[in-house]
Amino acid sequence: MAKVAREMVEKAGVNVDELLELLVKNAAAELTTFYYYTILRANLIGLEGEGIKEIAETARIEDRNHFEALVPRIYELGGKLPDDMKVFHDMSACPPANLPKDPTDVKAILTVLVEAERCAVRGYTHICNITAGKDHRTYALSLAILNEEIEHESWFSEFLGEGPSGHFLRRGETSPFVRPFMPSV
Amino acid sequence: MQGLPVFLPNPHWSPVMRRLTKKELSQYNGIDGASIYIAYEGKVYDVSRSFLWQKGRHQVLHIAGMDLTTELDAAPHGADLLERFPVIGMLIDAR
Repeated sequence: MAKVAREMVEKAGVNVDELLELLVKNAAAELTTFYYYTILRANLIGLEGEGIKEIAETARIEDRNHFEALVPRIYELGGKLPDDMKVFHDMSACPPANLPKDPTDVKAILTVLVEAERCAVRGYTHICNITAGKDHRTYALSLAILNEEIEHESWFSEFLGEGPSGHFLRRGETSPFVRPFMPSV
Repeated sequence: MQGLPVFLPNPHWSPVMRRLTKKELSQYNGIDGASIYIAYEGKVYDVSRSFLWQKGRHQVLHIAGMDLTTELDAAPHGADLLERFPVIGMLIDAR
């Protein structure tokens, strides 16, 4: 644990135990989403699905990157991941992004994808709100993740016919915002 | 039977609209298997089926069995999300 780093956050008025629970729940959401998106991506096939597969894959990889970026901050602040993977899955900050009953229904898959991204956008906005001006490092990390989650939402939202988002798919490396926080890069 | 109207059950419809006090509402906090109710602007919603209200807690900071009108105004989502859940009654001593 980074003792002084935690102390500074506490002194700024943040309940660190509550913040840690939020970070662990969101880390769980990222890793479980990575898993469920693997299944969704595999089912994005055919004339309609193939066009969405690439952004689903980018979102999938970036969600895994978010998990990787969150973990060091959890341990820095004195937290830890649950020992049991099943416990970790069930404490996710977002519902499972399950494959729809009809896996050939591309619009239903898109709805699952956009709902998952919207849950993440709300979650990181919430963390940004409670850390702004108090826990600079968690705020910067959450803001970086939020930037990517908003782009994911925009991509899927466009395919659902909700209008233009002004965003474009990635060219080159994934996670342009989160990469500086990733320990293995 | 031909010609008679067919009534399909509305998942958000409750046969009895209950009237709850804040004290009564507080019992529906998800603890020990209790149902999970929250109030917003005088309406009581049953969020027991919500993944995001497991064990009566939502995003760590919010607790079920309470009037969350003020909290929801500060939340990163609107009251429209509550429309997904059944209204089971009215809070009679809401502000």
